[in-house]
Amino acid sequence: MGSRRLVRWGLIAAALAVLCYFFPLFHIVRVGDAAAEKIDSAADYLEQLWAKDLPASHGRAIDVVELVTALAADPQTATFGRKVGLSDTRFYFARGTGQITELSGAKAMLRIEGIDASVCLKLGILTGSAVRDAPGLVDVNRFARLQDFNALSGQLNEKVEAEVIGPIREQLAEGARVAFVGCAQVKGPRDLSPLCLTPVSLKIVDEATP
Amino acid sequence: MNLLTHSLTRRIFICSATLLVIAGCSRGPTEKPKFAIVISTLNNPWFVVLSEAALTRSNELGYDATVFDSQNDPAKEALFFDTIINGGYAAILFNPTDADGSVANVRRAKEAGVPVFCMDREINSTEDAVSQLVSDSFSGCAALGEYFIEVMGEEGNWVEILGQAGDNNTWNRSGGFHSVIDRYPGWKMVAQQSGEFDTNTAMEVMDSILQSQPEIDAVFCCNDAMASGVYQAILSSGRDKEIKVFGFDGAADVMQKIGEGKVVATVMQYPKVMARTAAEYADQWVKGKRNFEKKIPVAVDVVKEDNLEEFTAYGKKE
Repeated sequence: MGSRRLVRWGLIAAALAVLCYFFPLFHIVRVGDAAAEKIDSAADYLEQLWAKDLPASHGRAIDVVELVTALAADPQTATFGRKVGLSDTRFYFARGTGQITELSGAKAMLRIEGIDASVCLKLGILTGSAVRDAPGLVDVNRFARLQDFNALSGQLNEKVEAEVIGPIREQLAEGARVAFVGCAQVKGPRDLSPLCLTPVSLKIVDEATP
Repeated sequence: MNLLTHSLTRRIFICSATLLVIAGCSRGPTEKPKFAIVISTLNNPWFVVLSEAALTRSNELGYDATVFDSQNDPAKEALFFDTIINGGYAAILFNPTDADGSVANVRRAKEAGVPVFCMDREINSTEDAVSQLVSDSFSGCAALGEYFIEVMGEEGNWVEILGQAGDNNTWNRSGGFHSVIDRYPGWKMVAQQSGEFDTNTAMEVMDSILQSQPEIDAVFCCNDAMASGVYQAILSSGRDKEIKVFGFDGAADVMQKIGEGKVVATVMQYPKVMARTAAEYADQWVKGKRNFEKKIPVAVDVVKEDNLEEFTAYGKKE
């Protein structure tokens, strides 16, 4: 008698549990996801990003040899890349050294040390959002207006032109070895022939032999 | 002990059964949950595509859906929100009339427990809408700007026809295009006016500009509806061979004009992607998901003569 009652109540409890699953008596709702901290001052944010966060992130940039090898094996590779929103565009943050084989106002072609491949560094008028998006430091969810998020692209590009490329431009020459940290934006196969990076750090390791 | 156990278990059973009956009764008669689809205006074919895609996907996911046309009127939009909040809708798929003005409506919905998912246009808030799917207009117009320089060279006179001032898309598109063209001092902007995203308004505005500006090499329009109106004005003036037109949206008639060499390029947005994703997110919310990205840029593509065959109106060929 006791075990029959146990089974009966067990079945009733199970039925109740199933019914409560489909007709919940209450919902557990997280009390607001931790809202991403809003940006109060765009100018302060830019300075913090450029002067502190971006330089501190250089060590996280992937070795360009590894990146170029991975892309050669699979141009669609998701390894090392990141996306923003719903998009097929990938951003890559890479560092390395190379020798300048061609130089113009718009770009420098580099033969990469450690691999039979070349990349280019953009030296001309900079457009696009590689510097904003490749390092993974800027969270679009913090911006109430996308205009402010978008404005960062141009502001960062201008910083690169003025503070990274400008001071070193006259010293660049074919044959010089340079060390760089750079950001690439890859929309399709054309952007891999060759891979072009916007430098956020650029130093001459060995000057060209006259 | 047996008596105590028997009494206790009977009480538990009665309470549980009562609660169950209340829960079942409070749900009312079995009915399909429903979404509200609020669109800024159905006077523009692009928004008709957005609306229809949202409606279709909502139905596919098992929801009834009602479309509300705000007719570009923030007051009408506010009234719709009153109706929706009191009407038992499970979610709102929303295309705002104004980035600032629409925030209050979304906030009211949020406070009433109705989640809002923005499509195509954002509101200036990261706290009120659950998620906002917005075309990456800035990047698209920057890419258009790069193509503009490639095709038009590094100097000339150009005109900008802006969209509605209250729509952030106007400033994202203009900002993207300017981020490139302003880097070339040889290009001079000789006129900049709003065509309100409307074909006829843009045509009238361009008529006026053509009379005052004897030398124009190109016009950038913040949407294709305006590009169509602008082209018509240029054609009527007899200056269609000297002035090149660039647009944004990927509308059917502009795609055709690109094929005919009458418009140089546009930027393809994907209203169906945004609408379907918004409906799917709303469905996920109904099923219990709560963590969504607040702002989701959706990639766009430059469409020109040499890649035209990859696209159809409002999307890519499958």
